[in-house]
Amino acid sequence: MEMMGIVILSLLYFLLFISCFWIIVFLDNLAILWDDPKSKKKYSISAIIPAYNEEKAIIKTINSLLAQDYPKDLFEIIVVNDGSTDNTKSVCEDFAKKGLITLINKRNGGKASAMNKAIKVAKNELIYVLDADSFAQKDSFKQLIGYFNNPKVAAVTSSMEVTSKNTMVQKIQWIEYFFSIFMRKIMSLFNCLYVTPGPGSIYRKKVILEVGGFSENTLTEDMEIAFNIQNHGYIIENSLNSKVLTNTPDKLSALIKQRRRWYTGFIEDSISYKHFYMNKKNGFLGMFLLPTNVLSVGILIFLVLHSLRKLFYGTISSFSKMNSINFDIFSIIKTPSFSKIFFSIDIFLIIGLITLFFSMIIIYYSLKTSNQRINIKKNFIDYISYFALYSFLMAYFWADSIIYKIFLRRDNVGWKYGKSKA
Amino acid sequence: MVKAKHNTNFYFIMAFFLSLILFVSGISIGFLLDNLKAQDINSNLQEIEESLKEAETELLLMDYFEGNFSCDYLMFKSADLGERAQTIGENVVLFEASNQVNLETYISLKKEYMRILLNNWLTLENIKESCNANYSTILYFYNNNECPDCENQGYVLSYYKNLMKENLMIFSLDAGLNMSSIDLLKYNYNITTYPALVVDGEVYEGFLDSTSLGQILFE
Repeated sequence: MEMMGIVILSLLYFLLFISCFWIIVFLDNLAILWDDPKSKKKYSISAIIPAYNEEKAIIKTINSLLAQDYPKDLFEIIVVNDGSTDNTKSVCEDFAKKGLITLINKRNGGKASAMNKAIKVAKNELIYVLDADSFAQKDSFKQLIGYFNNPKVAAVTSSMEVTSKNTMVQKIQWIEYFFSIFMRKIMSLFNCLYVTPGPGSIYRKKVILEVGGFSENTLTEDMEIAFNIQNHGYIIENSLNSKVLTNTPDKLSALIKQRRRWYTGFIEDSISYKHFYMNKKNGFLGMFLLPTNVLSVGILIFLVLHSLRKLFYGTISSFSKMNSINFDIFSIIKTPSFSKIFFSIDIFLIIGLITLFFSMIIIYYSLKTSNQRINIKKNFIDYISYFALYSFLMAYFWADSIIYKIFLRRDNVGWKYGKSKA
Repeated sequence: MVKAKHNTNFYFIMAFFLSLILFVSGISIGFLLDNLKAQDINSNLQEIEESLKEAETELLLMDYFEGNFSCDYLMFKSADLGERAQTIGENVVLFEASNQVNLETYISLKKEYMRILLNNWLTLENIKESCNANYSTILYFYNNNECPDCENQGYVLSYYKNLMKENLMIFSLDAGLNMSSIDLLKYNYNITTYPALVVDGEVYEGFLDSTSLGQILFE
């Protein structure tokens, strides 16, 4: 066997090992995954909505918080209009006049600065953050607060699902978000969450102040704060029952911008917190999760490049062959016989199929975790597009972010998919 | 904190063993399939070898009786042998691409296949002469190591085989196998570059596209 063959088999084994690991953890802890602790006291909550040009979505966002099944005297809503140039300000003023929200208008300074401003005026013990294009389900607060019985818990994240799946790009994200829900819950079992997403994460205010608030110099303030919290020895939990819906990019160009920000943010935060890597003090997060994540990205890019290389040369070779018979394609088409299929099966195909099968099991459990009915007939296109395109897209996003970080990155922190939208 | 039931070491060990079992099973299935493929090619080669011997005997009998009473039968049989040899040849090529572990088995199978192919060619040439058959035969010399055009040449030949069916018999010979029988043919036809074709006894060196080969076959 050639060296390249051995390398590819080793990489496939690594991916298989990782898949097996998560599946075993999931199945072993199935009984406790949905158990949110009962709250021993009623915490007061300040819900913050940082907003920049969100006139279309923000009414629904505010209403989702007003509809929370939680004592009204125990929570407040603070909307920070971060210098919007649309009608966000006037839309929010209607709520403010009725005394339903506190509205802060400030000059544009980015999402982190908007949240830090709100934290300064927040009166309550817990800070709930909700992006202006996301919507909390009405029992969201109740599901989250029980975790704060443990004084070491600094933050709890919600399960984030997508609002719509109209385009192919959204269909892929629809499944990806379920996968993230699955992964975050399992990661929380080992206290290794390193992101507290903008939609629906709740923090202990005292800890946020202790760690210095949200960093205004990072592309991903929700990741930086999570690293910072972990760095201070606190715990981040996750609730499967607290659900938040969020709008996702509907076009590939918007998704590329969003992922460039996310993954470049990850690279930068990883550099800032490089002492986490292979550090026993950071437990499972430092010794296993972060290194394997980086390794998995490398493997993904390598395998996709290898596949694309084969595809490229295969296409050129096929074109050359077709050219040699003057493109009389129909004369050479044969129905594939059993013998041909049998003789085409090799070790790579077998190991690749086993790895793919286990990836499918993870997606199956991801959908089950979010109580989704597996309807292959109805969602066939969604599943196929996910499995056919996701690896390629992820490899592209990561490669794009690495190149962006090395050659193009300037210190611009702002808003929305290409900037500071979580 | 909601903690996992077991510590991480437990999950690492479980995942390690599960993935190892799956991985080893996958590799073992791969080995098993390679063996099955080799067995399949071997048994087919043996069948063809027997049929060839039978055909040779029939040719001798025909000479003895100085007649062509069994020409139709022999021509039918020769076409069948040609088809079967071609299928085995395609399987040998696929086996080469998929076989990652057993190079020796592949080389010995391929050499055996080449020997039978040459016997097949000789038999078909004899039948052609004895029975005045009108099929064309092509000896195709290729070399996997020093022939960028060989893949395309093989494709053009498959194209004509598809078009002409039993009227064209192709014998693809791997010149890189260091077989004295193939070297003898190369010497006889004075072949120095690849791809090289011997179409009904005429030698053509270099790549022949479908138009050029068509002109030779249908002239």
